[in-house]
Amino acid sequence: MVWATEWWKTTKQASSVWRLTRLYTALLLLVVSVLLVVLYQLSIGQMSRQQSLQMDGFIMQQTQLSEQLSSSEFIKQFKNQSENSRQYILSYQTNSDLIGRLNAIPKNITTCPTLTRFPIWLDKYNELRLVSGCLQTLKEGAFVVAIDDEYLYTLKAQFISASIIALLLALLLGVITGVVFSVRVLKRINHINQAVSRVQSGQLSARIEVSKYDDEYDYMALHINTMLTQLEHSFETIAGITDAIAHDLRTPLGHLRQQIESEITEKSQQNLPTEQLQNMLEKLDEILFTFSAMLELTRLQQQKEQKIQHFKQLDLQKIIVDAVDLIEPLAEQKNQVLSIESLQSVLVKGDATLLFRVLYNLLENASKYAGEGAQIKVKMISSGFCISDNGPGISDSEKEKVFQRLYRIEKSRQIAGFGLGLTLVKAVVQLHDGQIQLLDNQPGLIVKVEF
Amino acid sequence: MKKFTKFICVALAATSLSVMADDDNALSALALQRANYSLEQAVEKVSQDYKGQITEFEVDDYHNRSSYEIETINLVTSEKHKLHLSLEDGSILKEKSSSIKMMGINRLDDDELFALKELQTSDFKLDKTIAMLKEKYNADVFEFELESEKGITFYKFKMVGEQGIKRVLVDVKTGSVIPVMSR
Repeated sequence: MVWATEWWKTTKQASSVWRLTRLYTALLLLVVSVLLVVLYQLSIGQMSRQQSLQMDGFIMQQTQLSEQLSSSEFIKQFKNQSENSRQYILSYQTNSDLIGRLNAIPKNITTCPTLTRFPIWLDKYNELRLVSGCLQTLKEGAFVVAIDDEYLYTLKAQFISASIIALLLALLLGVITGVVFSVRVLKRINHINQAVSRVQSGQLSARIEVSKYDDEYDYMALHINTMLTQLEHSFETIAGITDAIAHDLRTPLGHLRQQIESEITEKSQQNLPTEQLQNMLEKLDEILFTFSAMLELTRLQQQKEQKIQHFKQLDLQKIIVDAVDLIEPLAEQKNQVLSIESLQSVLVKGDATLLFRVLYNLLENASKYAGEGAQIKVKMISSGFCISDNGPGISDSEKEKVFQRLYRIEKSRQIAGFGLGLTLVKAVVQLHDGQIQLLDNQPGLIVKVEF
Repeated sequence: MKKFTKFICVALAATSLSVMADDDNALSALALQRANYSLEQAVEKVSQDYKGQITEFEVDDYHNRSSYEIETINLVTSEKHKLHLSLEDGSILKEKSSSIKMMGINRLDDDELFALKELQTSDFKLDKTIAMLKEKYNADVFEFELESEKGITFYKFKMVGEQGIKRVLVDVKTGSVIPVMSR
């Protein structure tokens, strides 16, 4: 049962496979239905039509005879017909007499050629039979012609039962084939998705497993693997260049910083103005910070496997309390109320320093952008935490963009920042196989982090 | 009436041992002929006193006394009554009641149950039908039973009249006579 539920969920999600299964099953049912209809028409339908035609012919013959013969001659031949006919049950009702094999005319019998099914009692066999017949009015009476077609109805009932069984088997076959097909296809697609997900989370060496079937999925896997190899190579090249630039530029920039600091010290001793130099130093620090952050980001995204090896079991509760303690003075400066809700132990396997940075960055962002007197809440949930504020929030169109490197929301440009904070946060969360979501707090923003 | 009696006497005299059933019919008809308490009265009494459906009615012998043997089934109370009413004065000679259920399971077969349910939901009136048949065929009903075959529920009446003994079947659902095919 659990297996079936799981299969249903997976298949429903993989809508293309499910659609294909449904289409295949529907086509199979259609083909079986058409075959059954054709078979019916060629067997029972044909017998039924033949029977109707013969009966129509008989009725026409008797009608013509009634017009051509005298009343007594017609009755004589009708009596003869009714006594000798093995096919039809015949009775003729005149104004005064009832001639034939039935002792009464059925009450609700229809006029020919429309047939009614009615019961008759067979005295000889002490048995009730259902026959089909009709009443034909003549100028001096009316006659009933009926045929014992119970065998035809039994045959129809058997055919319907057999058809239902055939359709159910076709449905079963369709569903089984669909399940097998979707399980096999989904298995292959899932391998591709898993590999791509691993690459997305920074494990650039991940590759799609190539099977022995050598089919279109294997060709696709080979193409993607080749593309990933090229991509990995490009990343390595870029990382190498970035590292080289960092290595080459950090030293001269460091020297430049030292020179500016020395200049500031000298000018201060001579009581000369140092404002311009201070500004230069600040700008240089910003450059160095951005540079360091970008390098760190690159490393975070590329060195997942090495980092994961050092992960330990941690309690998020402690990290949250520490981060809140650190950010509290900053919040107080802006008269903001900082609170923790549902404090509970949440165990996560990860790097304490990196997770602390996530908490601190998010709290710092909330304090920075929520404005004076804002309410900032940290709420612990079973699998992570939520940080909410009642500030201006982020529009839906910008919720994804804020995670891009160096992206800054237009209205927050007057507030100091480099547009790397949330990018780093996301990289750390992904490194821990977690998810980060930005939600509306109406007003404000909720940042939901789950591991 | 004299003609009926004459027919019955002739029938009795002419019957051979191989047609014992015809014998029984003729005897039943003769007994009914001499009864002080009519079949219609018996049907009315049982219908009023037992509130069930009469499933069988025949003329029988009970300790050397002619009697109506009647079986009624009440689906509401799940009771079955078997009665012997005297043909002389309608007194109850014997009454036997039993439940149609055993340990919660119905003892009636599917056809019987179907017939009773059909009869219960139909507008069929037994007394009116008997009167109608009497008038239509100019004959007296002396035996009947409720049956169901091929999804059709009907009362099978045996009647005796000037033309002898005949069988008439009435569809419970439509109230119409089911034609009988002679051979």
